[in-house]
Amino acid sequence: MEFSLMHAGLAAGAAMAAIPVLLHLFMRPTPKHVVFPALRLIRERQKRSKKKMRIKNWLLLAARMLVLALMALALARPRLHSETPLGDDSVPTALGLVFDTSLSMGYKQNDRTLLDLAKERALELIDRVPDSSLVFTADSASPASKTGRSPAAARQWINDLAVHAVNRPLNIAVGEVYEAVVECDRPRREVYVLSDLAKTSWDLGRPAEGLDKVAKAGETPGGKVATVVLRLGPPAAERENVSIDEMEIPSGVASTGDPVEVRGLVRSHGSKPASRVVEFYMGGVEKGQQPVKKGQTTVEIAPGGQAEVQFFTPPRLKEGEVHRAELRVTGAPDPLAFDDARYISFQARPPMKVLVVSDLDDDADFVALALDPEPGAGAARTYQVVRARGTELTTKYRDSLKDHAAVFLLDVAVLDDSAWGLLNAYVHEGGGLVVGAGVRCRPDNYNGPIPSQILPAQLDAPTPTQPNAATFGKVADVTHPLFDRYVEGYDSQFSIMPVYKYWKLKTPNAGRTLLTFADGAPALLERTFQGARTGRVLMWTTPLARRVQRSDPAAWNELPNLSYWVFPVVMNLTVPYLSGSTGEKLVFDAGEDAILPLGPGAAATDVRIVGPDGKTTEAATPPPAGEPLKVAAPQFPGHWIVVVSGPGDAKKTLGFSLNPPGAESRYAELEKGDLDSLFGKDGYALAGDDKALKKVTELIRVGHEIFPWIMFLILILVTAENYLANTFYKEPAGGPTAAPPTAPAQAAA
Amino acid sequence: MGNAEKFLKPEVIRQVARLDLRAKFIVEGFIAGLHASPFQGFSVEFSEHRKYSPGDNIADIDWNVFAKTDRFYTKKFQAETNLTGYLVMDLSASMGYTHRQELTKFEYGISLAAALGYLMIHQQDPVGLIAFDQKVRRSLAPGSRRSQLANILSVLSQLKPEGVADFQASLTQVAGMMRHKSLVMIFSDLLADPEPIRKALYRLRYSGHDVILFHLLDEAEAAFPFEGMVRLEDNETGELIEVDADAIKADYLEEVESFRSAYKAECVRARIDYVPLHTGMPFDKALMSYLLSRQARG
Repeated sequence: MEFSLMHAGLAAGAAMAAIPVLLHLFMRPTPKHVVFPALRLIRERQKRSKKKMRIKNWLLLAARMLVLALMALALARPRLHSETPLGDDSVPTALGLVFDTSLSMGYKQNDRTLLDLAKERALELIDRVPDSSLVFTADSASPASKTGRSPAAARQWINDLAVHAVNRPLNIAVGEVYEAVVECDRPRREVYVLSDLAKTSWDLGRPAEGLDKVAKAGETPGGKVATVVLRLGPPAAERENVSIDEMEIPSGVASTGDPVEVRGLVRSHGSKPASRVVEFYMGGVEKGQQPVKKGQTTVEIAPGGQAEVQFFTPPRLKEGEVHRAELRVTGAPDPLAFDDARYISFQARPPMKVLVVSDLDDDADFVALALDPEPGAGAARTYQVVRARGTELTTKYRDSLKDHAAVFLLDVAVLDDSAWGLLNAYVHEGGGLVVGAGVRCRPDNYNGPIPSQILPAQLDAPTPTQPNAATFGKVADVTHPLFDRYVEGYDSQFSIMPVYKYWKLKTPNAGRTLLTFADGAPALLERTFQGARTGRVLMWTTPLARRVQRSDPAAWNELPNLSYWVFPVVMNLTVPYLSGSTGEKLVFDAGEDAILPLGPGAAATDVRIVGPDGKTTEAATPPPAGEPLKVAAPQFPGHWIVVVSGPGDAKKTLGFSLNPPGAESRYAELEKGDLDSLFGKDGYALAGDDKALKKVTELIRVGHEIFPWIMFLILILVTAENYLANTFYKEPAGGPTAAPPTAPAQAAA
Repeated sequence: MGNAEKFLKPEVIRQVARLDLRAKFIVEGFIAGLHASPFQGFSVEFSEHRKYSPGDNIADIDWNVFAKTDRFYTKKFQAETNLTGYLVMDLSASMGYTHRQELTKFEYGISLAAALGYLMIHQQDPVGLIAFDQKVRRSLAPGSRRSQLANILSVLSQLKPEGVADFQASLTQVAGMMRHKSLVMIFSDLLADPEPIRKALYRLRYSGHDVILFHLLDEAEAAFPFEGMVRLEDNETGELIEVDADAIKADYLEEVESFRSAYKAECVRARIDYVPLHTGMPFDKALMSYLLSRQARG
């Protein structure tokens, strides 16, 4: 608890406490001379009561001195809990202002965004400090300047503030301002954090930066930094918002010819049911080309619920071009605008060819069906599966093998050296091979010198059939593109999926394990081959097929069982991964580096990047030949266009889409415990509105005024002084002249 | 209040310069007051009426009562007494003190003594006078003639309180002067070392005398009416003390009370009548004390 005075000079008036002493010393009245024969009575009494009298006199003197001292103290307006040493508005101040400029600050309340409110509060705070103050500003989007601004310059800076899609945790911005304010020489130091206190704006795993500096500064007299957190906007329960949380092409690949399905997920975050119109737009990447509305649908969403919308692109999209699609929510005013639209870009291409090689059709059926099921009406065909026997590899596909996005080698007993050589060349040139080893595989063939050059490991022997089936284990590499999207789902499915038999492996050939069985043995291994394109080999140690009869020697597992969704998902992710098209995504989150493949060929000579507004154009350094173009941390959500020129007159227009982080839509407010862990339990004051802000500021600057308490104490002391004086000098009860009646007189009465 | 009774008040009696008149007025005021008291019908000249019964002396029948009531009552007169009274006056300087410049303790005392002398002589009781300070200064042998009163008043009016009293020596001397069992009435402020006074009082009692101790204080000594800082001087010893009157008042009054209580306790123990007085009090209280004491011995 700190104690300070608003008018410290007036506290000198406490010296008035000496007045009673001085009066006693210098203004002692000349005593009146009185003849008094009964002096012996006084003398006797004085002997006994001298000490008592002295204590009484000291008590009275102390009470009178204390009253005077307290009156002086009251005039000095003392306060408690004051954070800063001075309370006057004219005190030069190091004023730190930290703005939350995340997208959730775009929430509108009474037609004004929360950022507008934050600006207004900040300007009011600046109005309350003198011009000799220094203002240190920071927002969550960009690094702060360590140099303080004049109040006038700070006003201008604040007026130019805008929400950003990409923000740092406010912990960092607060730390920057703390550091600057602590080093400032102004006598009063205050830091205000203006935020809607969305959890997404903070890194709750660590405290605000710079707290150590603040604590250190607080140890020096007058160095304390006061922190006020101003909460803006309504609480979570009162917020209404409808957002488009997801937009995707479910098939993953947009094939030419057929219409492409686009799905979106619309969510209501409020406590009221929402009715909205979702519009579907499409357009090209040529500059100036505006998206055209291709459809719309009305959705009714329960409070806190969600609705899925589905649209189809026109058929016969141009192959090789980047197409842009957009979903927009309309139909009612929405307080938070940034999540009312979502964007995707995609490239239309013909279905990928996949060669499935097996000795038996049964071994190929499951993979073929997962990749290329019977196409339904209007459904896009993503993959074109071609079946073949092992002997046909060299005879039929020697020249066309490279046209296939992936080759599946499913429980093929043996391949001759030329076939292995062909596959060896294929993967070294960037092709993708999947091996499913089953009962038919001959280890001596698979462990030969040529296969060993491409397979991740050598086969040892099949495990004995286990009477009680084992299961798959856990995903060993949760960041692998095959598994990173649904890791928990995979683990739960694999953990119950029976495996009766699998190949034990010898020493691995530079392969790494992606998935294990429950006993820890490798189930899936990968081996990569660097080159112009990365070649990959995935080797399953158990076949990618099942048999109905468990007694069948080829019945090794239940991986392709329709009871589990893992198999088709993994197969559909495998082909794009092996073909390299996984890295060809054209949809990014704001702030994420956009990597755009420019394709083989000579290096480009000029790259121009056009922002979503169609006006902002930036030149980028062309990447070396064969390397993708990296657009570093683009920020503005929408469709971006990339124009690549060269070599020569060649010109190619690419594009990508940027979406705001979806977490910003799901508003969750910081709780007191979160704030405590960010700033320390007593390290901040929380203000909910402008009145509370004024009160908190007053409290910080002025503290708890204890003037009324001191006046109350004075009143008590004056009463006590009177009581003491009256007690010490009181008239005896019954009057002084009364004399006790004598016994005879009583008898007479 | 009757005209005679007003003379029981010190502020009134002080207007009367002559001591004989003072004594007369006090006693008459006192007797007048008795008529309104439970002592109605009581005369100092006789002790009581009672119904006549065969065998009583017919000469004692009060014919005046018979005339009014048609019943026989006998008058029982006070026995012819040989109770000798001594008025013993303290002549110490402190007795000459008065704060309000009205009656000093000494004047109050001699007024009271004169009144008692007047009363006793009118009852044919012999009364004598002794005045002392360090030793007995003046004395008058007891007598019951009318002229004795004049002598007593004459001596009283000539006395002046000066010097320091030595109670033990003086009262021992007083005891030696009394040949018969007597009633000793002491008028003093007792402002001296209490132990010798106590011993002297006991000495009187052991000699078989009855004692009434009239403890006289000035009104200011009883009430301590001072305010602010005062420098107090003992007019006997010349000692000075500077005190905050407001601060010590309560303590002083407690001390006075304690002072009186101590004497009262001692007197009760010694079977002495103790009558605390101050110069603001009416005289009847003192006279009543005498009367009751006298009656007890009747």
